[in-house]
Amino acid sequence: MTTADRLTGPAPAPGAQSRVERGAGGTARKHPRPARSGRRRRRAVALLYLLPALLPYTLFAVLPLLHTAYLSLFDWDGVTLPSFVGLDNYGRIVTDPQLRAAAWHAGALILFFSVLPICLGLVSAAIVSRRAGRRGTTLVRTVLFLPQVIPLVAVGILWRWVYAEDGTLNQALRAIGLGGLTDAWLGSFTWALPAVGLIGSWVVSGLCMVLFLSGTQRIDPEIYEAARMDGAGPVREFTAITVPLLRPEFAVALSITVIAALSSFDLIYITTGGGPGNSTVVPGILIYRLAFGGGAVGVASALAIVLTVVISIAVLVINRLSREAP
Amino acid sequence: MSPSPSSLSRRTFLTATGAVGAAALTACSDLTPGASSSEKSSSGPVSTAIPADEKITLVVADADDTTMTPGLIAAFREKHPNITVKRNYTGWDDYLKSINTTMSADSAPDIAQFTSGMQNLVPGRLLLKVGEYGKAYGWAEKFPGLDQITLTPDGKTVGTGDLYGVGAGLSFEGVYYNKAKAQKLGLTVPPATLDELEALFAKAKAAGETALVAGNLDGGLNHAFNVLLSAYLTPKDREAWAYGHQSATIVLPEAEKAAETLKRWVDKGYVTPKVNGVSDNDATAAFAKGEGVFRISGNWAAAAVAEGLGEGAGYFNMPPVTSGGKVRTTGAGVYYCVSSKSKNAAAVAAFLDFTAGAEAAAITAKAGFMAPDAGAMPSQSGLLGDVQQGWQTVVKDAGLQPFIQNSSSPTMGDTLTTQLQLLAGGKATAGKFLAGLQTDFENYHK
Amino acid sequence: MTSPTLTTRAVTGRLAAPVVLALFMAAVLIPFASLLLAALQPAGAPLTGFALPDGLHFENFSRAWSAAGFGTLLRSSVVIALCVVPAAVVCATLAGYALATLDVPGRGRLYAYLLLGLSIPAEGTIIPLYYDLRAIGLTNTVPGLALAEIAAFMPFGVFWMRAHFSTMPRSLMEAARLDGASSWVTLWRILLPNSRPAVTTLGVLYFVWSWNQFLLPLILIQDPARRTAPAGLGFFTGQFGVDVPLLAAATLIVIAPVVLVYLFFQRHFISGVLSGALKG
Repeated sequence: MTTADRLTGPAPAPGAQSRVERGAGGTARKHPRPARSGRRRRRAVALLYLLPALLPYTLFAVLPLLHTAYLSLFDWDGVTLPSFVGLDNYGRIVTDPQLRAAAWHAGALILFFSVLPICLGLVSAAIVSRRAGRRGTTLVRTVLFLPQVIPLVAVGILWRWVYAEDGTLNQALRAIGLGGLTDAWLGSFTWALPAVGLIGSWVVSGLCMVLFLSGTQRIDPEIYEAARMDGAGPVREFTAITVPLLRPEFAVALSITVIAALSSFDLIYITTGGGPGNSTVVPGILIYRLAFGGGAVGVASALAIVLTVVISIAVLVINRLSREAP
Repeated sequence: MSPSPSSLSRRTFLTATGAVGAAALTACSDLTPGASSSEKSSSGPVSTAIPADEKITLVVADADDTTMTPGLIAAFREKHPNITVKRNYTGWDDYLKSINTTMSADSAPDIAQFTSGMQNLVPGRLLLKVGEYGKAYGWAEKFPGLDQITLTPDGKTVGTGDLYGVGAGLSFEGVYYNKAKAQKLGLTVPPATLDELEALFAKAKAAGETALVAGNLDGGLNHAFNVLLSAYLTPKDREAWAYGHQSATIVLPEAEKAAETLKRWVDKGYVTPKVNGVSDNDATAAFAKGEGVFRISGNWAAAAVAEGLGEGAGYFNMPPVTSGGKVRTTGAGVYYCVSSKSKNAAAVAAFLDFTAGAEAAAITAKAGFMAPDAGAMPSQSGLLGDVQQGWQTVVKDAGLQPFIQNSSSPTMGDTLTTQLQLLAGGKATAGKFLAGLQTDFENYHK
Repeated sequence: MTSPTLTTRAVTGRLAAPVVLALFMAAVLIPFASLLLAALQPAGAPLTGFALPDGLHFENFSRAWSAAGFGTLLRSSVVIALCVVPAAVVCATLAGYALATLDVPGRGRLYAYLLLGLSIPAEGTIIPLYYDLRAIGLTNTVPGLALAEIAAFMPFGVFWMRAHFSTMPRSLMEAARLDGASSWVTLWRILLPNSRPAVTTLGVLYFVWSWNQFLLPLILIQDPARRTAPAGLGFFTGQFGVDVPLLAAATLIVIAPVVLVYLFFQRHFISGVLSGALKG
């Protein structure tokens, strides 16, 4: 088994210890000398390493989350004193027909935010890493990551022009004689969701590529050399070496992008606002409308909590699967 | 996989969350934030005197992207050298998101532009009741449209209750048209009735033109729908619903007629094709570039239209249903309200009063708004002059009605956009469309 | 699968890669090109899509700069980033190191607890966060915003650094331990010098996120003059109109520093080869 197998597994199961774990747990066995007190001290020191991260995180991320959970039990407009309503807010969201559409859309966005960027990221990373040292590689790397550094507000504005009736996309279609295919993409009940989805792909692919590239650096070049000596071409090299060895980065990329898909908000808010009709409504948009429309922070909180739980489960499943996969 | 103490199992996950949860809930004391009822929100006895020898600083928060608010501030400062006014401008979208938290901060601005969604500040006692100042200054005579900023104590109903501010610059909707094209196509304007307007649309369409330029990506068809409702619905029914009166309804035959008219315009191809994919701003831009023949929008668009079409830009008021009927249209404006945390209420009231004066009228008119003192507005020529003339008729006929999405419920803006897109996209009938609006209304006013 | 001859394979391989990369790059760059062209149009011009400007209106940049007060906005963005990035990188590195290599009691639980933060939708929790910060007097302040950002970024950083440290060969750490090096020395002297790409990548990502952070500054900072650079974009989106050329110019002003930082660090970002120690 490779180290890669264990990278994203949060912690190993007994009997399937990685080299990492063997090292950590094995020290005590190799050196029986340090007594219990020594181990306790080491564990206390280990906690000290975690403290700087845990402190701000607990105070300014987890406590507000719990506060949100608490407020989800209230009827609250965000300004006046809340009144306790128990689980009514949760009842309201499960019976909301918009939520079903929103959940469905968020699921569909995984295709655009996760599947497509990971494929594109893998392909571009494979090509770029093979070309390492050649002229232009840096340029490619730099350019492909660019969308990631732009504020989403700006991304949304950019793409509104691309998708507009007289926008870049329709101009391009007309230029190649496909004028009949043009549409007002963001206003189409059929195309709006794929259109915003592709913006997500555009943004996220660069991040995936960088993740995979930093993974390929870990791969010993000798493995490639050996494969090449065996007559492996670029495609075989890609499928037989690069992809399997990038499993940890793969799990990281999948987690991050699935989270991005399920909690998407900014992009959709700026481009379609959830429209036309309800065709691009996602949970984030519903939360925003409820919380900032001035009406129902309590209901928004309930929805935020449900979304947090759903995303947590998704992350959990991804991590579980990435450990179990062969 | 067998469970193990260190693996990320669901159980672990839940225990971790639960433990922290319990600890935090007992530790945190300020769990139900919100303004307490002890905060004052009435001003008590007032006078129109402004302390003249005291240095006063006022903060104004607004989302007015015209020259009006900065112009009024500058003129007011010149008149009162001891008063410094700091302006906190935020773009419209960002303003809507942040104004409620801004107003609940200790550092709340003294004056804020009142927008839809701020109604909750009333029961939160974060807005100052300015009724006493209104009496002292005689605002009822000076400002038209004060009912739009008069709210009940729960903030849910407009038009009755206490006064919370004044409208310094008013806006209203009407019909712009391309004079050159109207002439070429032989269209007689202004039409005397709605039917005549529709006949003009048909003629323009038959000549291959886009009759009505519109954009509904962000719900811009609400301009057309609002004015159609103004024409068809009785003012009483319109206000009851738009102002959020208990048990009001929009599921009425007249409203259905308005919705069907709009749907017919879309179905017959009078409206910009693929209207759901065009933003309202782009529609104005396209019309100003010479596309299409008519455009229903507000006086805020006048400057852009005039710049684009020049002498070829024309305007008329939305025609009534029957010839000779009163002109009714939809409008709002820039309303200023006051923070209950303001320490300089007297100076704030002086500023509010200043916006009604003749000096302010010139500034307001120049920024493209209708001044409260319509007579004091300097007369303008061309398109702006036509718009101004239209305003005189609206005021004479008392035809200014509130937008249906501003005060009926906090979420109505989004709901109206969604429903208009469904209507224009052929996904909803007029009846279903109105039912969708009514559902939102009843969710809030239950 | 039929195996093509070595030469055709080599030729397709040689051609396919540049073509694919060129396509990807075009897909990225075309929207940017339309942004650049839009920024050079006369101010207030209505436009959509790809349009050549009539004349080059560079004055849009200075007009956008002064209209939105970018001088102050950029300065507060820098201040926030300087508070957030080093602190967050250090915290995430320490935590990732401990979770990957040290004997932490309740390791799985702590890691799960930290990962939970990845799932929090900011638009849902920001209003409670605002009231929490207000209760302790941290709204409208740099520390309040910085702490909120550090907290929000922590889960990804720990996730990232833990994954990174887990990939480092055990032999390195074992050798250090046998030499009697403490966990602290092992981290600073042995692991970190070999972790530059991972740490730089995290730092750059943090910088970008902090710079582009929009909702947090908007709600947590009430004074518009003290918000961060993306808030400046809102200046050109009015209730009834958008000044597209100025908005495009403002967008370029906002993204310029991030792009520069990225360009400066991208060499280290995914730098070439690992040192000999790691290969062993």
